[in-house]
Amino acid sequence: MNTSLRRDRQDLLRAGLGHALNLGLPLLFVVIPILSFVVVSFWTLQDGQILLIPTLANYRAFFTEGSYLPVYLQTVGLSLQVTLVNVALSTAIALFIFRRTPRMRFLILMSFMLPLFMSYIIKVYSIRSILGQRGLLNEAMLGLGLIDQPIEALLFSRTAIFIALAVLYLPYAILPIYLALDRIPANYLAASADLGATPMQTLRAVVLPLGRPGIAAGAVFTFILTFGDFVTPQMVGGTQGFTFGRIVFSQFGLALNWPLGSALAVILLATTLLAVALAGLSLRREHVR
Amino acid sequence: MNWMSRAVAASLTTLTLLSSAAAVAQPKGEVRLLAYEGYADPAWVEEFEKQTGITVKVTYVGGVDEQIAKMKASNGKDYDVVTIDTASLKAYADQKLIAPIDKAKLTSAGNLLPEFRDMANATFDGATYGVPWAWGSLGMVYDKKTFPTAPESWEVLWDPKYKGKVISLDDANNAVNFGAIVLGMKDPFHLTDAQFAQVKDKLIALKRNLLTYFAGFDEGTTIWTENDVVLMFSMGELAAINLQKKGFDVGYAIPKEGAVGWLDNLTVSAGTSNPDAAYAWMNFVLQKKIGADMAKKFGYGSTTDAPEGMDYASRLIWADNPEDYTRRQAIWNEVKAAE
Repeated sequence: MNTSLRRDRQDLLRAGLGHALNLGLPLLFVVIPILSFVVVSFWTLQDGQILLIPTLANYRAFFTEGSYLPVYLQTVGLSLQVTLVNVALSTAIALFIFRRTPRMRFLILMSFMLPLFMSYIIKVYSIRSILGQRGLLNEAMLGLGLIDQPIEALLFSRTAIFIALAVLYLPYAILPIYLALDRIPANYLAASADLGATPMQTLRAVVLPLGRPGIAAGAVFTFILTFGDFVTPQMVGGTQGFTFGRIVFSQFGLALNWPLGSALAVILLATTLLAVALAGLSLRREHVR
Repeated sequence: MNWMSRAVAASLTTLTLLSSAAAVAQPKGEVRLLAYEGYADPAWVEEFEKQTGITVKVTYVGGVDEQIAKMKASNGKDYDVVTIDTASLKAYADQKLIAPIDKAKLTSAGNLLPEFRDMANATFDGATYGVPWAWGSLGMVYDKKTFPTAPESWEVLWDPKYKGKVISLDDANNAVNFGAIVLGMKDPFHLTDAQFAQVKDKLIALKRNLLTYFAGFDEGTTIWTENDVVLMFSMGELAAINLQKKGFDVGYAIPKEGAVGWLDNLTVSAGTSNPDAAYAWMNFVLQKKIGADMAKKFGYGSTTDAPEGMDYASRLIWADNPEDYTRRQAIWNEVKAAE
């Protein structure tokens, strides 16, 4: 009895330690850092000094001052566009992979994931050297005689931001969509065909509905990554490359406006959480039906 | 205190004594530099490492904003020697990110040219925080084929004839300085509300003529080489030198309105773990031969060796602390967000 009690206590201790780690690590590395900037967002900046006086001025500034709100809305618009295009492209690519033999699937999937092994900055620089006025694309088209003058608007434009972001974040959408498709049992498709459905009908009635969680995840990943990116737009967008992430970033340099920067970061975070919530909601509706 | 912690304490004390004794004769370990490109040439690093046995670790930054963010992140504990421009020196000192210079340890101070010896613009409340090390200007780089003689005025950057062929530095403070200088304002570092409005309009007008903004020397030259660019509001002489090295026929000019001049100082981080190594590096680079080598390789003006061909120092407007960084950043954000 005594030993079993001791064992109980040991189990309890071990379980407690496990829980403490499970809860403690995310708390320490995720929740506390996030909370810390939520707290800073309510502080006051006066004459270049950060004062611990609670205020809503930083949030008010977002709605009323400068160009914060217009740039925010523009960035949301840009991210939605990229998300839309990427989800469409990725779904097509994932379906393409899904139709291959198992061994081919792996090879094709890997080739699409390959860019993830490269540094982000290197990819942005390569995109830039491809799109530049003396870049690969212009030189090739000039060489082939397709154009007489280099196309100037390829790089340093909204189009360039759009292309660069879409290319950079495509793998993040392909992977979850493909994984969702991969989990569809083969006999569902066979059953659908046996019941006389055409491949198109099977796609619409079986494959896509079952792939929805993956599509939602891909959309959320693309939106969050695009919305928070403050380097790519700046590097390829020229004078149009100013996005919300860049405004947040600019508050932490010599401006030393940490309270405003934190408030803007909280708004950024809230936007991405909203995207996650919307995706979750759309999936839940599907289940009920 | 039990015997074990006593033993540990004793051995630690001995170790500290030993290592500090060794440090006076020959500082060892590592010196971590936070510097702009060109401030830690591999040839100097190699010679220094051979001479002293101290390992050099360099972190490069592209701009003032990035640098202060890096320093704030660890309160300076990640770096030993930081090169800081005169204009931001006070902000670093006020926030206690850098420590006052211990002149007794600065054995190379005698090498400084007379005009840099008093270190007046690096002294606050009687303490000196920086040793002048390199200077230069934020001048114009121009394509010599398009402009056989250097353009006389900065206004050429606004000329619609060169629309889409102009690039400009992305730096809130210097962009505002630049706008103010082009508009002929006497004190570009302390602007009134009306002047701010004028500068903002001028910079928005410039934006419409730009191909893009750039940050850092490398980005400026990369964009120049990959695109059809003929004019640049540059980060300095190095931009022209880098392009010339790559075979581009470019010139460097200070137009009649003038340009911002900068003076970078060697400073000791307040969070340094190895001050002796920090001073060893500073004393090493303050040699005349290093200054001359820097001028030759990177086009920076040296403070220990009178630079050749840099005859425009009198037309430069030496950088000063601006009235309000936060405001300048807000205005720059509005310029960048403008259609």
